[in-house]
Amino acid sequence: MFARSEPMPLALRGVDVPAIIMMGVAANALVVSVMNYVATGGGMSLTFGISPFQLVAIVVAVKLFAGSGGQARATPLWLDMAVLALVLVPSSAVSWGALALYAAAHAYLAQSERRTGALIFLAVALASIWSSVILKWLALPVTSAEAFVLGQILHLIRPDVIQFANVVGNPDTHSLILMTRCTTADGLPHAAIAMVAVAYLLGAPQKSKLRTAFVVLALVYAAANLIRLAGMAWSADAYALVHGPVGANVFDLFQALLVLGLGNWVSEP
Amino acid sequence: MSTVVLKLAVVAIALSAGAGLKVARYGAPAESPSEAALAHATQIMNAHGWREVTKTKAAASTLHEQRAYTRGGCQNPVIVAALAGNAEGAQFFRIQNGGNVAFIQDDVVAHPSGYERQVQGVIRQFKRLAGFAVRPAMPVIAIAPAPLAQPGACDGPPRSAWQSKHPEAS
Repeated sequence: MFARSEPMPLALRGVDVPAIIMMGVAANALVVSVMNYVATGGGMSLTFGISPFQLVAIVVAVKLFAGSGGQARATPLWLDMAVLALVLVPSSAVSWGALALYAAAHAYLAQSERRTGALIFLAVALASIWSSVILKWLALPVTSAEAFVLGQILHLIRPDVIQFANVVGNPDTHSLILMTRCTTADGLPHAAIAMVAVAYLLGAPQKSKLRTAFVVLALVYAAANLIRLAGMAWSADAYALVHGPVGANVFDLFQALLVLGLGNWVSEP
Repeated sequence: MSTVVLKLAVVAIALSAGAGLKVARYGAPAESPSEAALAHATQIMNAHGWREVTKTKAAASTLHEQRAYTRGGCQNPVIVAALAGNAEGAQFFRIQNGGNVAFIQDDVVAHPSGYERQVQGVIRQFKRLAGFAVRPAMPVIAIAPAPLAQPGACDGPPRSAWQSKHPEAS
């Protein structure tokens, strides 16, 4: 009988200290998600409140970072120390910043798969900073812009629905307040990174297909999110259905299938 | 080999300590900042002769808690709300109260600013790291009608009452 096994990249490389730092910094940045999950009494999440897209991207980034491809030179010791010092700051956003800094340095110095892994780490960190920091600065214009589109579409079907800033609905009955975490601007970057990660996990993606997949993902994701938001703005009952466990799981499943499908398509030769 | 072991030890200690500090920060028991903010608002309202009424003028959203205050001889209540999250309920509060609203975020402002809240949060975080006693951040407070510099008897407390000091949990 023959047994087939895949070599463990970490073991092959010996002790890959930068990979351990990268994973540890990412884990530190995700502590806030787990603590929020615990604080809200837990729930049905199998990922302890961490976005499955973030998890997929980080796992693929670790695999690629510890895979083939060398580094022109080691990162300077001061950078390692600076990153570890930043991790000591009890802030998730600062840890994402530290990960972005470290991943950018490795993306500059490394080649091949290792460089791809570092770039995925960098993308995950930047997308997380976008969601948790920058988007909050731009909350009103971003949520108002999506609410405007939603209001225009809904008004065609329901003339009683009006939009004001980030509020859409009938002021006398039911209105939806659009929050930053419900916007396409918040969810799309994480989905796009997960799609790229899946594509690199399954093969060597073609750049032209990757561009097409980005456009398809953006359009389909934005349309699906608008439909979801329209359901929430329609009535209190529809809101309960769409925002509740059933609607949330249906939307999550749709996103997962979309990301996996497009990632698989991009990786095909 | 010893260099690698030393590096690993330093990395493990730093990562574990970082995770521990974050667990301590994010896992701290909730202090219900909305309740504290509304309690502070009630103090200010009471000091100016306004009393809380149990029934609010209109239903609040799922995003914020609000209270109504009345004063003898005044027809309309003053509504005060603590806006949760990123204060996304600000515009809803504005619609519900006819547009004449203001927000308390360190000062009386026309629109709450997520950027300023984050800057204040970073400053608070660095103070905490430096060993200063820092109180938890408070949510944005919304008030309708907007406080005036020299209000009439039924316009609510003056603007200066809300500017005295950004309310913080005690």
